Amino acid sequence: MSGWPAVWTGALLTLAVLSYLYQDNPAWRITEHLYVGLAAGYGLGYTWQNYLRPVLENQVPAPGGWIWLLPLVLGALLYTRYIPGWDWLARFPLGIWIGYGAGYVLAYLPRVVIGQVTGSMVDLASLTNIALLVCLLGGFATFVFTLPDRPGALRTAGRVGRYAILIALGVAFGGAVLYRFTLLYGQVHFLVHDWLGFGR
Amino acid sequence: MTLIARLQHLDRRWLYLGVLVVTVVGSIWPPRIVPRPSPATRAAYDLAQAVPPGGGVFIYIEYGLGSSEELDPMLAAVLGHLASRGARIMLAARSPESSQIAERVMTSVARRFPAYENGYGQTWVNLGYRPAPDVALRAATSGIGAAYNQVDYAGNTLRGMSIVDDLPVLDRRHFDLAYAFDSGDGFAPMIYYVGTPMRVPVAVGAISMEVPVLQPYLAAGQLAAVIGGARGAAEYEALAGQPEQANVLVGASALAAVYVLVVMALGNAVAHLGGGRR
Amino acid sequence: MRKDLPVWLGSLAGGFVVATRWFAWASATGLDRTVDRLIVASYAVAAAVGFIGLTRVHLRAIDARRPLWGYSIVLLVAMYGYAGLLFFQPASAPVPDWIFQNVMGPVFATMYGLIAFFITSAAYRAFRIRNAESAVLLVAAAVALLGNSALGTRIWPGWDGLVAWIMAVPVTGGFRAIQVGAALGALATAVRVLLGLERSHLGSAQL
Repeated sequence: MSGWPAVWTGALLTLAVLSYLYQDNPAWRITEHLYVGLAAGYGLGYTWQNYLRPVLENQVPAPGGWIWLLPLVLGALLYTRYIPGWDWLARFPLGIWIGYGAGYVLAYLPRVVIGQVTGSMVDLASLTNIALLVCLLGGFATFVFTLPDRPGALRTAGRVGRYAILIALGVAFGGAVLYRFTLLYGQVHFLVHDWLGFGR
Repeated sequence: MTLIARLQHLDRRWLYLGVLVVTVVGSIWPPRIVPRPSPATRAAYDLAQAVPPGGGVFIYIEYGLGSSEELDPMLAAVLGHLASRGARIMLAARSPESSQIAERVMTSVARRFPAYENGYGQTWVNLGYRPAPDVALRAATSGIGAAYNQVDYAGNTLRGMSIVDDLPVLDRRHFDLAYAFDSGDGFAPMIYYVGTPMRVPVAVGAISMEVPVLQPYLAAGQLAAVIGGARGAAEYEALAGQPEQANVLVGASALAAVYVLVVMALGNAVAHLGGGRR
Repeated sequence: MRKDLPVWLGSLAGGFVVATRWFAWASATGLDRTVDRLIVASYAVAAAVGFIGLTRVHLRAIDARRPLWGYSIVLLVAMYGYAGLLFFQPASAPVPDWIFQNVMGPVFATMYGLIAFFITSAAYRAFRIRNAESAVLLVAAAVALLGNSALGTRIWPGWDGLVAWIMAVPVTGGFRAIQVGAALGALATAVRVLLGLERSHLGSAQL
């Protein structure tokens, strides 16, 4: 077995998480809360160290740097949500961010969608392309809910599309299984080789 | 109690034990399976091969510690291949974790290439993470230095770094290739802001769960290549002659696949033989 | 006014982004790059919202001595401790980096890997072939499992070709339909936001 503090720390934490599989226990609970606490602390600390501190130290004092105070004040307004009577000010940063994001969607998404549509205009000389078009149109037909009595052709197309989507989701599920096993394998490999010393 | 009844009421911890056994066996005796390269992985390899010495490659990393096991070998293989081609590599991150992961993987790859081990700021740079990372990525298509506040991931100034001076804007004129390594939707901003408007070829290194989601973009030409999961990473390692890290994962995942299929078949058999337990 | 002004400012911000993208004269000024950087700065200041939220919830739990309140102390110590460390040292410094690699790394990876166990349990109990649709779903999953693990070609040399066809036809068709539909929905919502018709993100009269 390895004596390195790093390896032992990792191993004990890994075992604490895995212990949840048997039943809920204090080691698991402590590790779970450690996980959330570290993640939250890391995000904030990193943002301060790598972004806010350089901005306050370099950008704000520079000539014309007063403009940086505007977004800093805007972002700070979000915290008024915790002050009764002043919480309406938090709407300003939210409104601007959501509006900005909506602008991004309108500015950049159409071209991507058009690319998807033009990519669907395939040469129908091959069976594969015909099948692709059938699956695509069937997929669209699956999501038509606005007509109360769907015509027979639309219902049939919807059924075909549903099968196409089920195949797609089945493939995604297969990928998900292997993805999770790969992640687990990494930690088991660490326990077996680095901690217990097998295969060294 | 009959066997079928026992299996119908099987404590799930026996299944968990099976998972542990499968992963331990896979760890100690990993089957060696060398997969044949798929067209998508070969396309990724060809894209990197086409990068001329000194050509710019922008790599956007979105995954965190939870997905490191599957994507670190893939990232290392691609970085190693690009370094062997003499490409100039610019790393950026979509989350704080990703920037540290990028630093760790690139530093370990750089140890094999003197020009990269001693060439930070010339052959490669880690721009790190910025809040609202997709906005920063879009801003990089107008000016990388300004978008990242003229500092890299460790707070060093970008001014004077030859890689940033020579590759000032994220566009087709300066960059031959852009990569997104992601475990969620990190590929989307690359397509929206870099691939489609700037026409930089975009390749994605994705977890196996995400590969189906990327197929429409690949088919429409909005993505140039996809490396998918542990298998894709193993294929890329074999193509590019990089050290084998992902190959072991493929063998282990083979055992996992067999186990899950046996469990699914058993569950269905038990349910149908036992009269359809709810 | 308290709700209208943020909506109109949002519409202005969004309209500005659209203008800089669609009109060359708007982006030629370089104002879009500056505004992007300022928006990034505003996001950065708001990074502590989750931090404060967690602090409030767990301080209340400790104060009220709710069940398992002791674990809230663990959370708060970890959160403030690590954030405090990073306030004075970069993430690449030895101590924060050690915590990142040897504490966060194993915990995060194992947490994500736990789902492998739950997927297996679900595969045994819940994934039943009851009709044609569930059969199609499971068969597709099995084909993908064997294909992704490279075992399929050992069963039949044409397995990779089968997987490639499945990816090229039903997967592409199915997911493209979903993605185009979702994109059209996103575009419609974005138009509603810019026109001021969508206000749910600003909450009710009281936040």
